[in-house]
Amino acid sequence: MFRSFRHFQARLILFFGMLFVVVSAVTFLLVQNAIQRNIFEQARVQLSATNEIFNRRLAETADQLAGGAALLASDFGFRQAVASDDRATILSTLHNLASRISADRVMLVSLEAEVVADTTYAESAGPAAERPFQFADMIDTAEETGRATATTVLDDRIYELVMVPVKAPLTIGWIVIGVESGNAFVGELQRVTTVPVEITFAFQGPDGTWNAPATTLSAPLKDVLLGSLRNSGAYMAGPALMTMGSSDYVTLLAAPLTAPLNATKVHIVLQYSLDVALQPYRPLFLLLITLAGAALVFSLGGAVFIARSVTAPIRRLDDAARRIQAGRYGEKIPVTQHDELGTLSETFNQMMAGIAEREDRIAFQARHDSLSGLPNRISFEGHVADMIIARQNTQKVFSVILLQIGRFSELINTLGHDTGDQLVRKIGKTLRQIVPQPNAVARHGSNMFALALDTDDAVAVNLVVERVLALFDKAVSVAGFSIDVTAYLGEARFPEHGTTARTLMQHADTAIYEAKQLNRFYALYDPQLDPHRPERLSMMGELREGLDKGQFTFFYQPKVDLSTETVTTVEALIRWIHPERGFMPTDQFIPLAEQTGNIRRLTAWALAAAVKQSRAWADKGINVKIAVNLSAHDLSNRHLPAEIANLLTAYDVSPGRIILEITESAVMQNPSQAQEILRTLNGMGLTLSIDDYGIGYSSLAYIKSLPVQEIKIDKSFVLKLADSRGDQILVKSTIELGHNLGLRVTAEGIEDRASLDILQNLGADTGQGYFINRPMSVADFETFFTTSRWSPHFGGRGITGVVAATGG
Amino acid sequence: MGTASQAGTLNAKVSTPDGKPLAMAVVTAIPVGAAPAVAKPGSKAVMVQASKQFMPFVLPVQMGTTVEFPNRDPFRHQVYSFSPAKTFELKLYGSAESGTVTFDKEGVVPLGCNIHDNMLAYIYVVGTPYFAVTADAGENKIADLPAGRYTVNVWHPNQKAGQGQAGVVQIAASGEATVTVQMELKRNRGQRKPGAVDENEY
Repeated sequence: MFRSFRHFQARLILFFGMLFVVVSAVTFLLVQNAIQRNIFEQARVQLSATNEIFNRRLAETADQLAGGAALLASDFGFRQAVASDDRATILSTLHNLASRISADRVMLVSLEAEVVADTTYAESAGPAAERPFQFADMIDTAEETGRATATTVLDDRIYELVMVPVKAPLTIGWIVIGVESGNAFVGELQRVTTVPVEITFAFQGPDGTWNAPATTLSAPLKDVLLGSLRNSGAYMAGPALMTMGSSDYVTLLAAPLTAPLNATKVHIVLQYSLDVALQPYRPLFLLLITLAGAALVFSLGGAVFIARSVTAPIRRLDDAARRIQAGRYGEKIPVTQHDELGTLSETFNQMMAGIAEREDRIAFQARHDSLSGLPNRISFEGHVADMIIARQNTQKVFSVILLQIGRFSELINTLGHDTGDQLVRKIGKTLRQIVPQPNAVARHGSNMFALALDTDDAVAVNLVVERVLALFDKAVSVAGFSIDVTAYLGEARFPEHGTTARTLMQHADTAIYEAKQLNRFYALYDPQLDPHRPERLSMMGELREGLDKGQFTFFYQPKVDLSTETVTTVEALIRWIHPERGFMPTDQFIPLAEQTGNIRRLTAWALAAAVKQSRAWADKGINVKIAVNLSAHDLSNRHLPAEIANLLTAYDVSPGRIILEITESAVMQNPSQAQEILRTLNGMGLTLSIDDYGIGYSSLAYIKSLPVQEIKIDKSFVLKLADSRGDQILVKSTIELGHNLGLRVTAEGIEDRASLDILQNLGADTGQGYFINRPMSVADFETFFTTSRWSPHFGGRGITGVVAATGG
Repeated sequence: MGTASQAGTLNAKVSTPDGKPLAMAVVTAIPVGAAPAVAKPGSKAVMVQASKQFMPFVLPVQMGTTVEFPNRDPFRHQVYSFSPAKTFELKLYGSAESGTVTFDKEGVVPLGCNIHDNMLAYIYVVGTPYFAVTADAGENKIADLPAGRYTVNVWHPNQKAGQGQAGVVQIAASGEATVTVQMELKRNRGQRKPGAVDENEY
């Protein structure tokens, strides 16, 4: 992200920078071009003007020369010498004139156009031979106008020539005065020009090459110029730009100077250095460049500023987005701009507020039960954990109480979910009224509530418990229904029952279990009753080990046919002799085995042991059936019938010799599957008996639908039968009803003769209890079977019992 | 010069080719076959210098004539000529002075003044007594010519070379002959017109 901001900034800077550079460059070029054109134009004007000046200057020179010549021409002695053709005198006079007027060459031309004297030759050498004068038309001009002027090349030198007649008084000859245009001459010309101009007098020789006997240029530049002239000079119409050396020159090849016909024409070449011309503009260019540089810096600065003004808010937005990601919504983005980014920042702030609000709502929903509005289990655990943390040093006591609504699913099934919801809301609201501290009441599960009581006062806790229980003393009125609700409370105290929230809540849950076990509505957690105690769990390992090592045995309690008072059946009761702990009561390990799944091993052992014992007794002629207790878990084991069948086959035991005892609650847990298994077992010829009948909720009508042959009335109805009229009525009606349904009826817990008599009178089929005998070892039972008064070997009544037993 | 009964007259008319009358042209009549004749001793003529001018501009004289050069100006003149016919120099003679030169050879003698470059005149020395100068109308008249045949020539100071042979005419006693001559002149810009005054000179 940050990188791309930088890219944006770089792009912006690049764009502005390039734009500016391009605009500046174009401006600069335009200005420079305009200036150059201006200079070029100026140069052109200047060169033309200079050329005019030079021409005037040449004319002036010609005038001066002509003046000098005229003076000589009017000299009587000279005229006399000319008239008398005294050539020595003439030459001498010409030399004298040349030195007097600073002429470079003076000649006398005769009327016959012969050079009769020429200062090229020294006086002392005497008169030279006559030579023809080349420029005949000069003579014509001089004859007509009294003077002729020309600039041309003579003996490879450039001369400005002036011709005047010598009159005496008629023309008797011509004086020609020449001033050489050499370097000194052009140097002098250069000094009188107002602008710096390079001056060259150049002519084109017969062979086409250009010569420049007079120039202000340096030798190398002169060569460059001559080269250029050779290439294009003859065609140069106007001023042209010519590069010579390191600089450009505006070059004007002027029209040729006046020259005689057919004579070599001499050109003035004027050159104006652009470098020099541009000199006055240097400060301007410098200023332009400085301005451009400064403006570039400013524009780049501006670009950076604009980029920053974009990227900085975007960075702030980016930071804000990261804060949102991290879940921090508190810090708002400062809105400093009133542009789109400002609007975006505001939108971001609104979004943050919206997200924060929604997250609060979601968080609330995550921590609260939507139905009751109370904190949920997770929230409650957190609350309890906070309380524990707050007590790290003090270890001050507080209580966690769980409330379970009994038969909640039945209530919902009966009354509908709406009513169930309303019930939950009502209970929750009421609990809040009882415990108003914040977060102290939570919904812990569909049928559970949790209370955190921040007090170490047991009396105060009890008061709360009583007030809660009081809610359910009478029917709760919901949606026009009056509902009987049972509630179980379990309490666990910090730190005694746990130092973590999870433990405290588990133990409070266990306390509910314990309360139910104790048939109460409230219990404080009792570790002794806790089936989840660690030592209980280790006990399961020992249980498996005990099964393998033969620590388990059966004790057998006789069941007596009440009509014959002979033993027909024994109930096989598991005894575990722990090598260290000794005798282990069944209620200490059976429920645990059921909860941990070890009950199947136990059942497998029990069935095998019972079938083996049955075989052994059959072999000994001890004719008793053996009743084995099955657990609720066994009724969910679909393989159970097959396992039993295998055992019976293996030991060749008749199924009629085995009775399976099941509690009614075991059948109720999974009625359809249990019924199917029971039907199979019954089909195999096994006798099925309902154990502990009367303490559950099942009706006889329901039991009638089961494939059972016997019910065993729970001992709680029998133990004090002799003294309790109510029990007698209950037992009587149960027996009658059972018989009416075709079931045999067994009574457990017979502890005295009176009870036995009553049961006999009431028509119970079989009886069991300490009055008859306690559970015994195999050996004791075998003795008992043969020697006790309940032995079938005594009297004929025992035979009846045997018949009855085998027929059941 | 001869008797009136014997004499004839030659009229000459000189003009430029475009018809302009030409003054200052000297017309001479030379008897055919006669040798150049010298003037009688004592023959004189005058060339005056006045107002920085020679007067007349053209002075024809017969060989042997002595010309007097009187100075009528208040300053000096220095008359000279480098002509082959007569080279001379009359130095530094002042006002009212005069010098004389005898011209004994046929030819043109241009006269100049060493002091005043613009002064110019011609003395035309001929070998015959019969000559006359055309007037402004371009005409002149030679009277008292003895009858006979004459070669007639015309000379003018500005003439182009190769001209001036007018031909031979027969002059009868008391008769008259007329010659008409056309003469082409040199273009003449550098030299002053006769009689013009240079106002800047003094």
